[in-house]
Amino acid sequence: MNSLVYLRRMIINQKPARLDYTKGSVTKSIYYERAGFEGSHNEVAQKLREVFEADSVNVVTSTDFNPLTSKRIFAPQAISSALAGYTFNAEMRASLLSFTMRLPPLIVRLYPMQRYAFQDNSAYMKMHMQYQHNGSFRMQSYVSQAENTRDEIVRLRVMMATYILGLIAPMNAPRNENHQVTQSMLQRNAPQSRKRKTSILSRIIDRIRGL
Amino acid sequence: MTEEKQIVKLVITGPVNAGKTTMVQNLSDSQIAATDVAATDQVSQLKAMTTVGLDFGILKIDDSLEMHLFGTPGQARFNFMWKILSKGAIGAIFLVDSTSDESMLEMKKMFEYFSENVDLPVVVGATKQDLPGAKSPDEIAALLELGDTMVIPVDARVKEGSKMLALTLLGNALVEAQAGDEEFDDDNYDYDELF
Repeated sequence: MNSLVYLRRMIINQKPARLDYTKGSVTKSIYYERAGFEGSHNEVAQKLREVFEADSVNVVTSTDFNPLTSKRIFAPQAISSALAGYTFNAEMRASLLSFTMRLPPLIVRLYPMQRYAFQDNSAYMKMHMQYQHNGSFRMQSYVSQAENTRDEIVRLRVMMATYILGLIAPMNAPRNENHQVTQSMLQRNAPQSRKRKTSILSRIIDRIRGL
Repeated sequence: MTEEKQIVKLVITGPVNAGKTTMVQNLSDSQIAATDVAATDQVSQLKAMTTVGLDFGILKIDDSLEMHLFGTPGQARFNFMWKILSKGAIGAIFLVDSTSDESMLEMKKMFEYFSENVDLPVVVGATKQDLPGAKSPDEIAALLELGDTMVIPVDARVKEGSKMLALTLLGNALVEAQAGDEEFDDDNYDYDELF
């Protein structure tokens, strides 16, 4: 199920990349640049579904691609389209459940997915509400609370969308770090500065929850 | 030797009469300053008192961290203040009166300036959703051309509403920061790792 990991990295990285994927004996590619996947709406949705079910995937990052078309489908739109009505067989379901079990406690970002016609937006909203209520989110519980098979499919699709688009992240911020943070540190992108920023944000969140 | 406190800012802004002063009060341990004066011009038709300077409050986070809350005047002519306020800020909350066309117009000017000049995590709180004629969050997002910015219905008078809005902003900022921490060395990255 590591095609989800590759897609997430490609999207979060925000660099031009080509994802090669193989299903059976056929290898295809999908290009990503400028926050979007190359191709028409239907082509991209179809290819992303193939990526989900690929036997193997590989990402090549480069700035040296020659795009075949200028059409780009913005990542949230592309993932929404690929997941619209998407169902899976028993093998795929088992892979997705196994993937879900490996996710640590999470933080959840609220993003206007409804503007990109994400069909499972209400389930995503409930997921965010659970996170807001509890202060952390466990995907395992969320999926296992499904009322029926159809509901489980919806919740797994929400897991896929939020994971791939970077709307969930592990809740492992170093909460007790106590470094002096200057204004310039907050604005710089250095990893150390980001760690301090996550520490500060986590502490403020804890405090506001207790108000 | 006493350790110097870290201070971060949270900016709460938006057009007149949207609930900014109340939100600063709701999220502060104590409100240090509220520079309200009797309103004149068109503002007097909306409310008796309006903020001309800054609302300012402090929320003590722990022994070494304080969050300073700035409620900025709700008129686009005060946009210049962003240059100062955004330094060291962790995010911005815009509040807009869902029932007022004037509020929407003013908000559009303010948000355009913000988008072009300020790089901070942001959410928009749509207040007065319970009143007749209130526009829905999706209508507001479309009208104001907010792009990927989240619009959330909120009752600014209620502390829980203020908390929810601030937690959404900070949670979003935290996910972004955490995702930014993920290393992307394609040659060495183990794709069995999920994050």
